[in-house]
Amino acid sequence: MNGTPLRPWHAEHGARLVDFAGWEMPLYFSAILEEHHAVRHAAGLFDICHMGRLRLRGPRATDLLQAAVTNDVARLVPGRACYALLCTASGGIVDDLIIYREDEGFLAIPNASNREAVVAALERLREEGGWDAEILDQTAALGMVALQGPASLIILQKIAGAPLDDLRRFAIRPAAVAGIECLVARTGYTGENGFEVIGPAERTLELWQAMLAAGDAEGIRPAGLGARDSLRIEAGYPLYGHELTLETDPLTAGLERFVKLDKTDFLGKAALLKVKERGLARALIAFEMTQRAVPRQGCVIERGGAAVGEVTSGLFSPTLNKGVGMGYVESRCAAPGVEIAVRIHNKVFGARVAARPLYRREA
Amino acid sequence: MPNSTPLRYMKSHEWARIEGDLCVVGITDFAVEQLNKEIVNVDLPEVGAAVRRNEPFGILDAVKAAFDLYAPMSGTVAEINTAILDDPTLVAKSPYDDGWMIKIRVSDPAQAADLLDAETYQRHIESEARH
Repeated sequence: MNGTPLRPWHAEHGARLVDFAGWEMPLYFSAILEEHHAVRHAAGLFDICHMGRLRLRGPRATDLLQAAVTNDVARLVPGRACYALLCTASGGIVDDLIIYREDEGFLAIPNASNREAVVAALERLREEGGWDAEILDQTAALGMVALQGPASLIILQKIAGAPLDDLRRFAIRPAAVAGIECLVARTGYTGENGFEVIGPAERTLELWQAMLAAGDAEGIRPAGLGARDSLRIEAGYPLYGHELTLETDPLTAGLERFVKLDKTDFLGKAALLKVKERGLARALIAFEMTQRAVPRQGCVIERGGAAVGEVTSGLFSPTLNKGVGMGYVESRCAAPGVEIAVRIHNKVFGARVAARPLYRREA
Repeated sequence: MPNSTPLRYMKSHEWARIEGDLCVVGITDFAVEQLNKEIVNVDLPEVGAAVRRNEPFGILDAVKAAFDLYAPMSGTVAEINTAILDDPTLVAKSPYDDGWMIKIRVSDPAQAADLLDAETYQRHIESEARH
């Protein structure tokens, strides 16, 4: 199993380690609920070294990426990032990525489980197009941590070599953090203000420890995948293997604003145009339970006694203090306020379609 | 309260305490620790419902996962602990007292003989911990 540069630290600090996409990762350090609340009210620090770090270089890197993903990466200026999907020719989702525009090319962040599939798809396109571009997998050479929560800016600023308060959401810039040359991005997966910081793998432990020390007074906590999941569900972010799969297209997943059907050809474009023309049979919803129960992935969603969909993610929301989830339902049932029910362990519990995200931080 | 017998156990980490013709059911400290004490919801059957030995009678939810609760003996549900429905954290705080789950009016008292005694259960969790 793969271990991140921080794995020994996790083991020494009592983490419950689990296998996640072939990586041994912390599920929690103290407790999921505690780490979740730390991120909502103070700050949490996540090891996200398991995610991929791919660099695209060369004169035709833009053309290659533009032909691969759904969003318009040609419009990105250096220092900005976008969210995009990589699809199959039939419009199924291979992965979702954050793509940062750098001076010399792009830095793309695929999911741990899909890194190889993304590299393979890019390599294939490159060969077919004969493009002069290089795909460099720097996952092992670089480390990545996410500092998330309302206190994240205060904490990061203490150890950063330059002011970061003007770094906009989905912007990235080089900055020294704890004396380490890093890339600091204002991105995250928690619904809170926060940063993702990329630096050399051999100094990731140093970076991690410096952040924990800097955030001590603010109540920073190392946080695991358990809290990462509960935070992203509240914040309405989809996760590959749950909301996003090869059998799902980005339009049905409610990600139309990241799909530029008016740009030049890209993988899956023709199929997605057809989906749009036909109209969506299903839609992704967020919902909350109106009866005490916790929905789980795979539970059937019902309306008026008939099955109308399926839960893709479900859990007990620590912030809302009730069972919540996301799932696909027939489009006619997708409006917020619609009364539905979820079949959990063969019992039916009341629920209601809710506006997504379920949680939005105060501006 | 009638004098209770020593606790009996299931491999699925429920405990049972025989009180006359009632069998009180809860989960063990070991189970609570396995869940990192993060119990967020409990679903129990209605009073009067039939339960069958070794079959699920309810659900225990941790933040990320759900677990079936198994009945140690067959019978009908005589009483449920509504306090844990309102405050599921009671289960982790007091698994053997305030965190009890249901009382079964047992239909076949002889089934108690099939439950594990404390020593056997202890050996079971030690072998499970090694895996």
